[in-house]
Amino acid sequence: MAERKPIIRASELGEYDFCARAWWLRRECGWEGRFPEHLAQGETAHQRHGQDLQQSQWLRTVAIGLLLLAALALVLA
Amino acid sequence: MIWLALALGLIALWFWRRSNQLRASTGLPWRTVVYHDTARRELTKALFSARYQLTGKPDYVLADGKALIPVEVKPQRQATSPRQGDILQLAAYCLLLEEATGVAPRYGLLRYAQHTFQVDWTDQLYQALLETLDAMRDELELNDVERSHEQPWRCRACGFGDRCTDALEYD
Repeated sequence: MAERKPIIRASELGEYDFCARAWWLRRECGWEGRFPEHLAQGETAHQRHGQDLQQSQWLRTVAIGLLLLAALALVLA
Repeated sequence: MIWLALALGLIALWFWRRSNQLRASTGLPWRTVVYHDTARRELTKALFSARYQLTGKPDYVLADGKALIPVEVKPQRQATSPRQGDILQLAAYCLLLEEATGVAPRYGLLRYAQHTFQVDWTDQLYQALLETLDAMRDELELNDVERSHEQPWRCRACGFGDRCTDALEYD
């Protein structure tokens, strides 16, 4: 039976490129970084970005709906 | 009725303009978002490739015809060119999407705080990704791993800098 390679997460590639030792300390030694607030800030910024993206889609959908209603009102006028 | 139509049209234009402003602020094109992993709304499980023993979830996947575009967002990163580690992470998503769908993405998008970068999914990038994965797995065989840079700012920014026995001096 072929030996199974360790699974690597895509996000680890960035950590590894930043510093192989930092990546290894987290992965193999289970160390936690001393800047947990940076992680929290990053997550908040991610969420805000996602909300903006969703809201832009929602606004465009509403705009199209309103334009259709406007066209209908014109036809009925 | 004409006044109603006019009012609805004006409101629609305002909504349209606001949506454009918001989309521009995200730095992403007007493509259908088929998946997103932000705001705690996960639509699918992580992608996984048994062949490459690789897993991960891009922040978004956009539709580009039959092909897909993975997007990785680093909203706090200030840089005018993409970092190699981020390029490799995006490459991993390209590979995972190609494995999952059978259709190779033509490119992926990296979004930093101010800039959006298009990273083409090329044979060269594929090779660089495989080489990096091999190097990482080689490192996992070791009992310790050396620091892989000569830049003090990295140690200052590193969460382990105060405890790492291999860190560069801060001052």
